[in-house]
Amino acid sequence: MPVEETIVNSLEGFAVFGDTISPDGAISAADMLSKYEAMEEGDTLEVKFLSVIENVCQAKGCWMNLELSDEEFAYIRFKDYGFFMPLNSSGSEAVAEGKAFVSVRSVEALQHDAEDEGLSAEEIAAITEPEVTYSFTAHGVLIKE
Amino acid sequence: MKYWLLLGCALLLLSCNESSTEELKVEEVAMEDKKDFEMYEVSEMSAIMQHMYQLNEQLKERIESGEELGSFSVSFERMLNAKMTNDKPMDDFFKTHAETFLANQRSIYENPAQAKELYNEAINSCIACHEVKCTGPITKIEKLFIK
Repeated sequence: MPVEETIVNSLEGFAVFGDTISPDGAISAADMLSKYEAMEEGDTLEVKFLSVIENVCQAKGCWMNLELSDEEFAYIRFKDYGFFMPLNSSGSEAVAEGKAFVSVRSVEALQHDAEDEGLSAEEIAAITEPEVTYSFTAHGVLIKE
Repeated sequence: MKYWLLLGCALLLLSCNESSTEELKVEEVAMEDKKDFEMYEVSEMSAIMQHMYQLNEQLKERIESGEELGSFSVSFERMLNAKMTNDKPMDDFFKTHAETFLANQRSIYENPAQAKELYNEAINSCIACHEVKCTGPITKIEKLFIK
């Protein structure tokens, strides 16, 4: 499904995607990681956090990974497939607001995203196990300009 | 630099049996863009998918309210030939599932007494393909189910 009801406005210093949210009150990536570590599959948490975009779906911008630490990431999708990220926003600071949860992602889903990320056939084939994922459905995202 | 990015005008008026409801929405996005963000441009297939979503939202309402269903929209058949995102090739998996979806969608109008069950079956066939091809919109598609 394509973009629907995409709203992109502007806040001072930020590009706004989805709902117009405020950066005020966003917790750090480290705090977000602590919250994820305390969660189990099925738990959800409404939260807003600030981090750096690790990578973005290169097909549409329909998902991104936000850094939680050097090795951990939050896998972000966007509410109702309603807005997408810029394809060239990797490395940018971003605030995401929405629902955090822990999920198990299938091999097929992981391979599909790896393909959209532009990974090689060998790298995609090397994905053979489901993965516990720190997931997030954002209703609004700010990207620092 | 301020500019307008046109996201949605990919399709023309599609041939229609439900003329007043068949126009695709044109969506415009305004963005203060200091980083020259590069945004996805809607593919022909994506636009058709959005169009089908809108028509199924309307069909859901008609089934739920017991209204006349109308007739199958031949515009749906454009999904068999449309250009996919990034010009990806249309493989046999997609073609097979697209045919199944279209058959399910037609059957709703052919058997209005079973519209609810057949409609949900059509939505299921939609999701079955998306589970393999593009998982992103599944949560949204699930909202089409009639409970």
